[in-house]
Amino acid sequence: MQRYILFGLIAFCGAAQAQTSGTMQVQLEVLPRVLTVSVSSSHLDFAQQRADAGAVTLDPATGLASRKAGGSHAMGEVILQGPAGAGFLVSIDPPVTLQQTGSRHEVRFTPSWAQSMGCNQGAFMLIPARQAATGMLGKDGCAALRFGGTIHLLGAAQGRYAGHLAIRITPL
Amino acid sequence: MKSIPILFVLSLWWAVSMFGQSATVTASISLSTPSPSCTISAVSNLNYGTVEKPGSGTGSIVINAQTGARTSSTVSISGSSSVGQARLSGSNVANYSVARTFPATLTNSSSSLTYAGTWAQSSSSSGNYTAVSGASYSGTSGGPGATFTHFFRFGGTVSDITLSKANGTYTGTITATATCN
Repeated sequence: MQRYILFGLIAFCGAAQAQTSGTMQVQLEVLPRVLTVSVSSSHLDFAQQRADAGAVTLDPATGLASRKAGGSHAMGEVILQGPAGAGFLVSIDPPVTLQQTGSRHEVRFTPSWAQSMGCNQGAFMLIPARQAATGMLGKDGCAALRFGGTIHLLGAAQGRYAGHLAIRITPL
Repeated sequence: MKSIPILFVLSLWWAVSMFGQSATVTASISLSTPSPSCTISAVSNLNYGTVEKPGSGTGSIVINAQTGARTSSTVSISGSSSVGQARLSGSNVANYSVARTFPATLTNSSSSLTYAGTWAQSSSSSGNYTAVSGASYSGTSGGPGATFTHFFRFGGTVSDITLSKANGTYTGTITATATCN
């Protein structure tokens, strides 16, 4: 009788495959336009004026006072810095009332301002708008604003008058 | 070690022949190649940092996938950035392919920015990255008994950044899928 042994060899060589996946996040933060505002001169001073001087103007474009009886005048100046070409809006609330210390006497003050596009040039342009106007930073990423204005002195009482001029600067 | 069962079978056959008896023995053995396995995981997210919206026109920001360098046009950039990095590692793999999916936009709750992704690959994590064109990349490894690691970087361009876009964080998700054989 034929003897035999059944010998089985089974080999698994089929193709195996593995798959895996992963994710990553992409992120970007977007910020509004940012302007750095610095006040280089907060003192706007008409110096000494005669009580009946009439209209006295500090011209922000030229930096000159139309008249004065004595002392030194000064204008307010604000420096804006940010990306070159960035726009901004300047707004103020004229007129402003200057009050005499210790009394109710008042002097009416109508502010005005001029702008220099860039901080390395001396030329200021008077802004005709009374309350709001737009401007733009120069190529150096800077702009200077100079604030003056006009007071009306017609028989004003002698003394020192003071007030506050609020300036709002908004990036565009 | 696999020869032991075979010798055992042969000895049975010899014994049957010597003593004139019959027997049937069934023996089996299974041989298989090691299964390939691989894992792809993100090492770092793709982070563009911070941009300031332009006053006018359209801005864009780019991260170079090969070098990780960040550049921009029209917009000011700040904060730290990072190129996206992923690592594929595996064993017993003869060949593999990696397919990526880029989002078309990065979005926040009320706005979106256009995103065009790029990617690069290297066998070294530190350098020599080569740009990958197309949506998939294929490579080879040592096969059974071998392990491997491959590296990928992700960058691209975020554009359409304008003054009208909402402030905030814009996000998207890159997906990479690896198939290993």
